[in-house]
Amino acid sequence: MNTFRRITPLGLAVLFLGFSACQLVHAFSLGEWRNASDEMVTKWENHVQPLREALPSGLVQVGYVDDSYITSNPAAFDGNEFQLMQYSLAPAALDPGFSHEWIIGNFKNDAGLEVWLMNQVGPHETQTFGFGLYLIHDLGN
Amino acid sequence: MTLLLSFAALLPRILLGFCLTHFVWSAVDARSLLIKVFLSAAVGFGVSSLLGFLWIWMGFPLTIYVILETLAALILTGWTVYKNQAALRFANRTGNWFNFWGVILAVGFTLFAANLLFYARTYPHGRPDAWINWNVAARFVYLGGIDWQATFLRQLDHPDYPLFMALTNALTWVLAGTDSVWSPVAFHFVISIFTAGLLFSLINLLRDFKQAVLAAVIFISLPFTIDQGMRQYADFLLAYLLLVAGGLTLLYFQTKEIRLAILAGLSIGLGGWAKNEGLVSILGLTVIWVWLALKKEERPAFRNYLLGLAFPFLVTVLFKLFLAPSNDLISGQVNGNSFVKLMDVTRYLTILKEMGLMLWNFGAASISLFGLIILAALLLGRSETRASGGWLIAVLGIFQLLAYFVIYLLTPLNLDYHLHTSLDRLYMHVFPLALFWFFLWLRSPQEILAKKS
Repeated sequence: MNTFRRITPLGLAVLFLGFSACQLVHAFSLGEWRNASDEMVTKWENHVQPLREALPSGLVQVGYVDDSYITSNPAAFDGNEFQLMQYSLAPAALDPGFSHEWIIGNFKNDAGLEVWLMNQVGPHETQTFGFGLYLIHDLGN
Repeated sequence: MTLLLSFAALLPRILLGFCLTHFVWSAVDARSLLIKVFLSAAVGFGVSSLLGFLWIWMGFPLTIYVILETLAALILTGWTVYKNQAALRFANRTGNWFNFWGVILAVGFTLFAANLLFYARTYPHGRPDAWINWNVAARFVYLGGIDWQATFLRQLDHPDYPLFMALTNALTWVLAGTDSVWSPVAFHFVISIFTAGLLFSLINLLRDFKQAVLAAVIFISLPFTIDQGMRQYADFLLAYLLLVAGGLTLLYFQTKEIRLAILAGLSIGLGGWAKNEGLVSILGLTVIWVWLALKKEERPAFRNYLLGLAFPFLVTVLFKLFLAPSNDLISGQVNGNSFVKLMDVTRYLTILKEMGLMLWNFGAASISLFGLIILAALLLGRSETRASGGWLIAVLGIFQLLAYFVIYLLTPLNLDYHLHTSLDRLYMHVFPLALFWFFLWLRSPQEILAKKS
């Protein structure tokens, strides 16, 4: 029993070092660390960068709409992409809806978009950045 | 290069923290100095973020603050080193670490650092709450200029969260000259290392080197610790601050050095500035100090505790009153509904079941950490050297968990959802503290060997 007691602390230390080493080997072998640019948020930021640069400086708030507005289905609002967009476009605060002069559009299905936008906001200008990203300027606001 | 620059940008505040800590607590023995080194991140980043917040709230540019703070840090560091040259040459007095347990510590630390960096390379932006709640606020502060308060207009997340990390990361970006993702990575890396270092140094002082190594190695080897450390959330920071506050309170209890109470109050106050759950910690530790102050001879220390607490607590209250929107958990309480929830036995059972399961599986290792802890306790038993005041640590941890239990009882969110998305992180808050208590209680390898001989 005394021998067991004497080796227990050392055994625990070695066991936990083993956990740590396994974690390291696992992380290394997965290889995800090699391609930091392939990481989801990094890719998102790269896609949004042109949109971010096109935003006029000094904007405190901008509107935000996605496919849920086209389909009139609030349950379909993609909160995850909204939060990613907010992260990428800080320090402009995103406000869902059309209340602001400048509006971010994030659409997976943009068929008939211009007609729909004309009905929603009236005269407007649209810039497109690929990946379903739009910057809409409500000329009447 | 940007990562190195980010680490360098943290250095002035760490030095500032060390100088402030040393100014308050002037112990110069090697083991105390080591504790002070690992306290310096909490004090330095904390005080810096409070002052930086007040600065920008008054409408002044962040860049000027950074310049002034960095100059102050360098001047104070120079002065502290000059005044304490002999005392700070402690390397020869740390004792012989070049033994087998020292090698274990070195290997453990190396693996820990490597794991943290691999995690950061895999998730440079952290995990979801990092970009939803924490780093996004830092971007508003850094990029927003005079309009930084637009952060409180954010929707679908928690713009009421306090700004310890937001200010810290924004200040790092100012110093580094870029809002690189590696600045928050560097910050969380430092906090992870300093938490482990503090755990080690506290047990090294109150027990012995081998026990400290064992505690630290267990802490830093868990996949859970690595994951929580580099998620870039505020949970690990709060865990660090709780350990600081609990550890300093215990040190005061043992040494009666009343100036330690100032640092205990400051660090627990910073907990409230780091995360909303820190407000619970303030209540818990203050109750403990009130209890201590029932004895007349403890009242000077209690006054010091309040003195340390005052500044961070006041800033947090002002932030909550005048800037932060209402919290969703509080505003979600509907009249009468809270009473119904309190009377619902199934909620109690659900929470207890999930807490029990989470506790057994805690750590994300392939063997139950909790099971190993019980086994170690049964095999090794209680230390014959009682650390008086250890109950303070246990009470603080239990109080925190009880408060979380009540929060879950009353949550306006779906209970299962709330438990599954947060319980592990709430356990994280008290984990370093719990390990600290356990390794004070447990018989150390040194004691076992001494008994044999």
